[in-house]
Amino acid sequence: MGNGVIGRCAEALRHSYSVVLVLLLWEVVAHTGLVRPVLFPPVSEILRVFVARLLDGYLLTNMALSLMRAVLGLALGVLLGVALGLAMARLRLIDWAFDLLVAIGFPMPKVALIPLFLVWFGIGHQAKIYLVAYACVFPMIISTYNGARAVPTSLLWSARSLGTSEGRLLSKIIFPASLPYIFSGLRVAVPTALIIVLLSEMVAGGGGLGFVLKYAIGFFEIPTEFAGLFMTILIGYALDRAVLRLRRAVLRWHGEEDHAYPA
Amino acid sequence: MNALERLKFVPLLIVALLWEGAVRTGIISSDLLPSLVAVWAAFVDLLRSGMLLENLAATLFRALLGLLSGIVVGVLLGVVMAQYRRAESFLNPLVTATYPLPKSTLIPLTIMWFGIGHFSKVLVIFLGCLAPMVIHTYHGARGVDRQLIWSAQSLGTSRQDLLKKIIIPAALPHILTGIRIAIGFSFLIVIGAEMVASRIGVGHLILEYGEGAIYDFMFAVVFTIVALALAVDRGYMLLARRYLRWFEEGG
Repeated sequence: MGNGVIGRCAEALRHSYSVVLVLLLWEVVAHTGLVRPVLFPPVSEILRVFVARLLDGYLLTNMALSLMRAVLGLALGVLLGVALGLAMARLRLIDWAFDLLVAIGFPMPKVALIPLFLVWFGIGHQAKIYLVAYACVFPMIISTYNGARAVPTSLLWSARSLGTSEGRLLSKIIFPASLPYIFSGLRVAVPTALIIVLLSEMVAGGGGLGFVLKYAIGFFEIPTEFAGLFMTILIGYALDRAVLRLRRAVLRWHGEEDHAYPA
Repeated sequence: MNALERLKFVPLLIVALLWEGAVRTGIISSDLLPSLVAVWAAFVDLLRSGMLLENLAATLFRALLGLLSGIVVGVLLGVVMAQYRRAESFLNPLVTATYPLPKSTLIPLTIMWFGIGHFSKVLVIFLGCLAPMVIHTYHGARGVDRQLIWSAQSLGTSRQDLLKKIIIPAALPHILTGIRIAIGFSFLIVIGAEMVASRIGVGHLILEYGEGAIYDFMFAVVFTIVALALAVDRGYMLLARRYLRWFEEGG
C-alpha cells in the first residue's frame, strides 16, 4: 500500500507535468526580474505566504465565512427552487404565475443586484446569503421543472391506476425521477453560489475570501492575493467534488455526468 | 391552458401593481423601493442625457471583445485538444487545475497589473469565456462519430477538410451551447468588474446610484440590464436554432 501512494503520486505528477512546467517557468521568470517582483512574486514566495497565512488562521477564518454564506444561500436557493420547480411542473396555476418571471430572472446577471441587496439587507451576512439564494434559485427551478416534466407518463398512469395519492406520487415517483436533473442544476448552482459570494464580498466588504482578494491588492500584498486565489481554487474544487460524491451516493442507478464551470 | 397562455403577461402586471401599490400606500417606504413611475422617469432622463448609452456602450464593448476573443481561442484550443493527443495531455491538466477558480476573482489582480481601464476587464472576461468554450468544443469534437472520420480519411480527405467539413460541424451543437454559457459569463463578469473598480460602465453606474441612495436611477439601470440580458439570450437562441435546425439547447 505504501508503494501505492508513491506510485499514485508519481502517476499524478506524470499526468499533470504541464502544470509543474508552468509553475517552474513562473518561478524562473519571477527570479529573472523581467517583471517587477512586487507585481509578480515567485511561486515559492506565494507558497510560503500561503502556508504562513493558513497557520495564522487568516485564510481559514475568511474561507469559513465565505463558505458559510455560500452554503446557507445555496441551501435556501435549492429548497425554494426544487419546491417551486415541482409545483410548477404539477400545478398549472403556479406554472402560469411563475413562468414568465422565471424566464426573465434566469438570464439576468445577478451581480447587478448587489447594491440593491445591500440597501435592503445591510452589509452583513444577510444581503450576501439572500443574493446567493436568489442566484441559485433559477437554475434549480428550471432543472427541477424539466426533470419533473420528463417523468414517463406511463409511470404516473400505473401509479395512479393503483390508487397512489398525489402526495405520494410526488414523493415516491416524481421527485426521485427528477433527481438526475436536480443534480445537473446543482452543478450550476454551486459555482454560482461561490461567484456571487466572492463578488459581493469584493464589492461590499464584511470579511470573507472576496474581501481578502480585494484588500490584499489594496495593501499591495501580492503574495497574499495569490494565496487567496489558491484557496479559492481549493474551495471550488472541494465543492464540485462534494456535489459529485453526493450525486454518486444518491444516484447509484444513474450514469452520465455533466460539467459546470465557474465564471 | 390556452386561456392561461394568452394571459401570459398578467403575472408580470400583478407584480408591477403590487409593487406600485405597496410604495404608494407606504407599506414599503419609498426610501427602500422607488415607485415604478419614478423609475420610468429616471430611465427617460438617463436616455435623454446620454448617460445610459455612454455607460452601456463601454460595458458592451468590454463584454463583446472578451466574449469574441474567448470564443475564437476557446474553439481553437478545444479542437486542437480533441485532435492531438500531445496537446490534450498538455492542456487538460491546466484546464482541470484552473477551472474551479471563478475567473471573476482575478479582477483585483488584473486591475493592479493593467490598470482600471478596458484591458483588465476584457482580459478577465476573455478568461471567463475561454473555460466553457474549451470544454464544450473539446467534448463536441471528441464525440464525433469515429466512423465518419474513418470513412472521410479512407476517401483521402485532408486534415484541413476533415476539420472544416466534419469535426467543426459535428461539434457545433456543443459549441453553440458553450457560447450561450459564455454570453452569460461575459455579462456577469463585466458588471462585477465594473462594480469592483471602474470609472465607466453600467456596473459602475448601478453601484454609484446605490451608494448615493438614488434608487429610482439605480432601478432604471438594473431594469435596462435585465431587459438586455433577456433580449440577448433570446436573440441568440433564435439565431442558433435557425442556423442549426437540429440544434437543441443542452445547457
